[in-house]
Amino acid sequence: MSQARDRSICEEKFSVPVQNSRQIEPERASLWLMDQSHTFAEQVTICVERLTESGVAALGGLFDLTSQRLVRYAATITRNQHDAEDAVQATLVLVAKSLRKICQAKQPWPYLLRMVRNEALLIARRKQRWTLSGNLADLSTHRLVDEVEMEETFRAVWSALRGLPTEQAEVVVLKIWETMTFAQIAEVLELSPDTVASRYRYAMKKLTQKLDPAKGLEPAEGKVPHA
Amino acid sequence: MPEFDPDYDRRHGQPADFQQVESLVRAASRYLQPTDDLRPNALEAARRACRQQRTSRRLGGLAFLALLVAATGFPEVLFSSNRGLVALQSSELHRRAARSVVENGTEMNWALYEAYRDLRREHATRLRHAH
Repeated sequence: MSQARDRSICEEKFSVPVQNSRQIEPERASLWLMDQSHTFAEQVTICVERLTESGVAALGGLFDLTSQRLVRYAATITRNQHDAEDAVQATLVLVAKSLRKICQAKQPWPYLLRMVRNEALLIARRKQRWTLSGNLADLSTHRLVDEVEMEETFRAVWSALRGLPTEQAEVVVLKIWETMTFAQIAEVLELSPDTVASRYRYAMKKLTQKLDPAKGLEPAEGKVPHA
Repeated sequence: MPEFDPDYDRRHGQPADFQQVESLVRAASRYLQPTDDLRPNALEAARRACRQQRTSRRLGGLAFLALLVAATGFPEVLFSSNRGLVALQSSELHRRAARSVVENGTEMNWALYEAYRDLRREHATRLRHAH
């Protein structure tokens, strides 16, 4: 009842239709407002500026804005969502401990990605899980009602990503999901743009083989979770 | 962060070949979602870490202050209270004894004993006042 009321308030206030109450809640509506006029990196910069002003109290805003992206990026490195969430949590703790560092960063979003990457690599090295590349049982997923028929495709994509070597998978994630240029990815990964571009090409060739619609998608292992 | 260079990506990414796969991957971007526990857990961990850091900073500051006080104040107190104390040296005893012999005509042995006794008494009095 209250959710429905909140939803109508949000729609009225921001003139944006609310598709799913879990996706956007009234308390996170300020993030919405930013969506309209800023790129994602700019939104992160604004959030970090708020952190400078309000301290740790504003950390929730940064979490709401970046958590999904950070978790999915970390999950491509750790190959396990729980470990990815541990990496994101450890990153937030680091951010809270040394707010000055992130506030002084010229580009907070790539800086944050690098922090998560470091934490994810640490966890991945420590745990060294031997999981089947196609097993997606650990994933906590979400899809809209009109995306139900796409579920198999999504799972095939995730399965294919897990089948790639980590260094190739993370380039794909940064390139396609974070819409970064090769130069920007090179900055995050501390590599040359040529290396990044070649990793991307190798990865895309493999993904093309695995996800070729003509051959049919390779089925992902593990049962399909319900969101 | 380097400037955006569309030509570089076009030259190296072979977009035409991968467009279909790229759009498939792009569609799955929001498939994975953080679990509901992550937000409260992460924020609580961050706040706890902040509190601990603040506490340890305060404790560190207090410890430093205490050390500073001890380093600067303690020797001052020690030396100020015992500044008047003179070590029991034979030269001092002999000087006092000689003065007693000249002034009072006492024997040297007896004068030495008295000088020793007086010096000990002076020290005892000063130490009592110091503590």
